[in-house]
Amino acid sequence: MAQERQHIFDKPKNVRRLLWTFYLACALLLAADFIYHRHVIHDWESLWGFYALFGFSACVSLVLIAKQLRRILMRPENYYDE
Amino acid sequence: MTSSVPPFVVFFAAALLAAMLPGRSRIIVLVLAPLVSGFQLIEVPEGLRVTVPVMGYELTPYRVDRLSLLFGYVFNLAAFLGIVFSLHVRDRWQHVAGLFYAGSAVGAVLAGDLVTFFVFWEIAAISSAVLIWARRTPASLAAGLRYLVIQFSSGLLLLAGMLIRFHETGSLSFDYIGLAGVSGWLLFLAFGIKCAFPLLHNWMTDAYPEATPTGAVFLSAFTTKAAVYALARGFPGTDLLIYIGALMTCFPIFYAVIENDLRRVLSYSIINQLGFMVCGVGIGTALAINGAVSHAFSHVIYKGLLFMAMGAVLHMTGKIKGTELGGLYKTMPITTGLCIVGACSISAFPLFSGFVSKSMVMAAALQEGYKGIWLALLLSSPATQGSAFASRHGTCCWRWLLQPCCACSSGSIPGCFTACCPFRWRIHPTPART
Repeated sequence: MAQERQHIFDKPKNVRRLLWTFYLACALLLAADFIYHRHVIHDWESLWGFYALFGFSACVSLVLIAKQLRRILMRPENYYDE
Repeated sequence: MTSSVPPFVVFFAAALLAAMLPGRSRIIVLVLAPLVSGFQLIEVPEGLRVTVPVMGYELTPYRVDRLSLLFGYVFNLAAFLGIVFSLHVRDRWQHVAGLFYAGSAVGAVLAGDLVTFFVFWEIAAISSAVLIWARRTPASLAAGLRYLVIQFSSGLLLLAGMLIRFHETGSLSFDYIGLAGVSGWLLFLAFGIKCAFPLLHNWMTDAYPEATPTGAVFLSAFTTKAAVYALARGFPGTDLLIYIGALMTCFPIFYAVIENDLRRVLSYSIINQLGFMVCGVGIGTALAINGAVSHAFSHVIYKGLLFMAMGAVLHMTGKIKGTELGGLYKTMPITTGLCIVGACSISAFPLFSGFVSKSMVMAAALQEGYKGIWLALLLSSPATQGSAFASRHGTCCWRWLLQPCCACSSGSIPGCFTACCPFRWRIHPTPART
């Protein structure tokens, strides 16, 4: 194999396309909250964008907290030197 | 006619045969065992009880009701999938241990009394340890030993609880136990260890990543789900379980994000998924327990898939650390695709199996007014996806984008599902609350 085969995500353009698909999906789902009638059990669910915003903030805080936790929990790969 | 033969007999007989037969014929026995026992379970009439007098005591080695039957089905399915996945392995001990392990798990959920349950509980512990040792590395030998010590301590607690309970009530039957008295707590703790309650969970994240690539598929299915069954049988509607379950869904995700060994990431996410089941059992309404059991069912399947994918990666590359891998979609495109399917399912992406069963537990939590618990469950759902995707792709953007998108939709459809699925169908013989 003289030439490496080009794979789909080797091109940055394709990665960008994929990302924009996701951005778009998020935006559409958020926008759907304007017109979508949800059958709710609790009032919080009918707040505008509740699921989207809760999910987003939950994940952001997860990553930020985990970053701090790394300092306490993380050990070098061969800590117990197998 | 043959339906009164308990399925574990089929598995154990097959295991003994497999221990003796050479190559090809062993493969036939391996594949046939879960099929035969599965068809037996399909035929068996609901409500069947087989009792055997042993030394003056009436034991019930085979009891069939909806709850045990569902777990019996999924264990047979998991055994079949795990066995097919492990057929290429030329290691007699793994095959024999796998059959014993699957058989004892099926036996445990179909056991009608605590003595029989205890016996299967212990056979499962030993045979599963063999699947860890079979990797034959120093690390797996040590991890398997630590694993076995903890499994046996769970067995001892079970034995002690059983004896005290027999002394108190004079009955060995395995039905509602509840947290009354010493025996209830001992049994609760015994099940709790195997169910990986917080602070009792380390054995799993320690030992599962050290198992053989195929052994981990078996391990992910049986022990913990048998424990969920035991909790659903003995402790439905126990308030404490709701809080334990919610904690179990939340704390492992932080570890999973940090962890580098991909099979250890999956082990943490087993705890997270078990949290949903434990929580559902604790809430105890028909919807919640149906949700817990459905989640056990779907979890066995997609977690098996994820462990198979990671097993395939380990088998092909010899590596399992996230930092040492990358771009696997080029060399293993099918595995990548299947892994994404598993990741979607575990993170309750709409139209995947985890979505349906998680929604049932979450809807039940909300219906019973556990708002904080519901928020915790909601938080952990998309976060699981974070750990599932992030560890595989390494690109931050994936997780940051997909999660809100998933969270956004995950709350919206349960209504339709509850409407069109037979969720009112009662799995549990005695739901604690209606």
